[in-house]
Amino acid sequence: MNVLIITVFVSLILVAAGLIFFVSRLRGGDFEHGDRLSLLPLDEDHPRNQQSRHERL
Amino acid sequence: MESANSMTQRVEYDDHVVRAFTLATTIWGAVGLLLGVIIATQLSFWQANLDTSWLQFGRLRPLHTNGAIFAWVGNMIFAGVYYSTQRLLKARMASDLLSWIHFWGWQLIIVAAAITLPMGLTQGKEYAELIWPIDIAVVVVWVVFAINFFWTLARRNERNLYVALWFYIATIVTVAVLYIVNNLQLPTSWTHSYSIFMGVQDALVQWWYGHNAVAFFLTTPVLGIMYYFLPKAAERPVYSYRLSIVHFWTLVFIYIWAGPHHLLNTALPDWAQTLGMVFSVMLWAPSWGGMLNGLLTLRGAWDKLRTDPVIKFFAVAVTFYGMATFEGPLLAIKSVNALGHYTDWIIGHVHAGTLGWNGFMTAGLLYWLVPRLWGTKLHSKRLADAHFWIGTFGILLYVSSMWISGVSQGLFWQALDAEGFLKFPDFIEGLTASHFMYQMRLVGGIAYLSGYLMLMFNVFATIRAGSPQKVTIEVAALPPTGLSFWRLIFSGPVLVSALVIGAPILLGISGVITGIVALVLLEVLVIGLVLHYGSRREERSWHDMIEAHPLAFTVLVLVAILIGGMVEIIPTVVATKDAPVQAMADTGNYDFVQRPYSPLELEGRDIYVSEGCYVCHSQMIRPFRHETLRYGEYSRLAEFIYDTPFQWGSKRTGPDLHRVGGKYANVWHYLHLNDARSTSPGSNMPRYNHLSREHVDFSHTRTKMQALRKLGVPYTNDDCEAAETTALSQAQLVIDDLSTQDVVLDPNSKMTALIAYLQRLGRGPQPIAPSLEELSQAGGH
Repeated sequence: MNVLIITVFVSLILVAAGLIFFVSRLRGGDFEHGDRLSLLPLDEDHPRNQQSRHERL
Repeated sequence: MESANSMTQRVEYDDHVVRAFTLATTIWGAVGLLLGVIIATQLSFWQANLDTSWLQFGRLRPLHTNGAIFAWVGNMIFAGVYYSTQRLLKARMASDLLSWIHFWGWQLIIVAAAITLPMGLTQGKEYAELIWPIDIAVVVVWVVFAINFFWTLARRNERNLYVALWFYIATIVTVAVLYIVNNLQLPTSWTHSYSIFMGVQDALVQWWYGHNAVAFFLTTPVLGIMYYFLPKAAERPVYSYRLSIVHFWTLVFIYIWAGPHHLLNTALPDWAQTLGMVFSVMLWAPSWGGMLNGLLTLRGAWDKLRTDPVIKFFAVAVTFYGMATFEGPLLAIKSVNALGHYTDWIIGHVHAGTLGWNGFMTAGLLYWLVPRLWGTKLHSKRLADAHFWIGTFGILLYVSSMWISGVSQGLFWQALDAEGFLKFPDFIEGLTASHFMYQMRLVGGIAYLSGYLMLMFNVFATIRAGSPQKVTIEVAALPPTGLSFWRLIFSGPVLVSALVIGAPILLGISGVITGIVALVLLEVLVIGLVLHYGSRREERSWHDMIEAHPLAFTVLVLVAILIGGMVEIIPTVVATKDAPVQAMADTGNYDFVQRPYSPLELEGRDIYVSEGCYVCHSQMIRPFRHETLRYGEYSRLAEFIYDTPFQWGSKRTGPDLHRVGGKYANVWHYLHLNDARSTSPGSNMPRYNHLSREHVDFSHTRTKMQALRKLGVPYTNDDCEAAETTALSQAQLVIDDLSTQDVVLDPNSKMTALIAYLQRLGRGPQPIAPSLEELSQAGGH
């Protein structure tokens, strides 16, 4: 049983550490580059840095 | 690619190959679905097997699954990948030649499969049936695809890789690993080989492959397609790019561990079963994260459901993805699996995924893509709407009938009376009770196929009205990133992740005390790294940098997918064959220790594999009272050590066969194989009377035994040299026995060999030559 208690305790600390890490990275702006990248699929329809041309073959 | 001026480049996309894959998926989809309808008809009406070996259920079912997975969904994936990759990278595919080798190579592989599988040329492993020359072709074509893809990444004009491309990378890398490892085999002729894995090892490697064929062929590339085409159709960005990062890494890491859930409650070691179950349950989180990300992308665009058939198909496809990925982990829980495994519930589950998720994603993709590739409007939105409704009806009817049928079968098999004995001892009762549901499934399948034929008409009418389009763009040249590969590979987040993953694995190996010490040290390390890395402020985030470095990204994906496979497979494969035998010897129970098959039994086993008996019969009695009462002593790991390929099966349309040896007389098997209704009224098994007419070529038996000897089966040189004589001697015993029942059979017939194999199942070696007593009687003494 002692093993279980230690394992659960240590695991909870690891989860807490993971959450702290995640929040710190969030606040550090780690994922903000995604705001631009999420628009990539729409580039073709609303070009920002490119010009596209469709023509018959 | 050409230069427009010093700052920009003009890029013309290669949409020829996209159009080719689009046409291929449209056509192969109809073929795959039609095969499904044919085999559903055979299950409802056994006469539909037509007494022709080529068209029997056991041979057509693998063709149906391979056709649906690799021909239909495969070509759809390639169309989506080639279209979206070029646009996301703002670059033409690196090599037109490689693109066309990929296209034609893939189509030739499909044609080769369509010829060989009905001929009974198969490896006998689900979704990996193709014979070794075709396997080599698959690997070559896949490598061509990979070279073209990664070469294009290297020539890209967009710094970061969008999430869809991560899923494509994971697909290319993982499918290569899975396919090569699972198809390691030793050829004995141009059309026959033996897997280098045997018994439980083969089972684990096969379902590591089989499960991840679903994960990394039917799921990850289609998720990539979802992340690209759903935002385009909805005309808004993906709901959460951050969630897509979490979705991707958790999915690719966890998925690969889940394979053993196909082998729950079997002779697979318990630790591997538990790992498979736990990781399957963990899959709920990333799968639903991805599903919600897809559905929430439609926020603000739900009105399009009324008007846009593409959105209709995508929305329902993503919903089916959610349902299938809820049901999968549920079925992977051991107690649920005890009820659902081997039943039609599994068939319902896989068809919710294939018809709902893959099929409707394909439809949405085609309705979106074809008008753009041919520069016109969709021929008929109303027809697409009709396809949507009839297709949805078809899936729901199919899936619900299989749910009802499957759960009923599970309960029927388990039912015990007040005294603890089987309430329904006759297996056939459960099958006949399912007939109505089989017919409902057939109606559902026909409805789905009808909808698909509407799609075909709509697609071809659209193509006829338009003409192929050429798309060129002018794009700013990409400055070099200057990122260091090694710096990324050894960056903080990678090291932390490696420690968090590696420590529990080491803990599992090293024992409790060492484990806890390692865990505490790990904790200190993680907190230290969090404090260190968390305080740093860089211009660019870690994931931003990784997305800009395809090689580092690919290496990390490879590591993520290899961990699970290595942890599960290596301990099982390196265990010596003597271990289970020795374990049995230690208990004093030698009854179940396996001995190599005799030459005739070996040939009979190859016929069993060739006819696809495993698609309806299992050879794995689970350790449940209701199973041991029905079939006999539960199956033990040691009994399969010389089985290649393993034949545990995954479905019981017919009963388990592991202890069928000695249960019936030879003449019963003869009658049953000729017409199963003669011994089991109500059976839907095809007639195998062609086995009496066809002959085994015993001149090849020696080569087969020599190949098995190289793989570790303890045949001696004398055994191999005497293969033909020994086989004919044992065959003589079988036909002599049959002749007492007025049955005349050729000793060289396939029927004789198959009967000998069936009589061996679950028992020790059988007589392979007349006994001395019989010989002396024959000599008149």
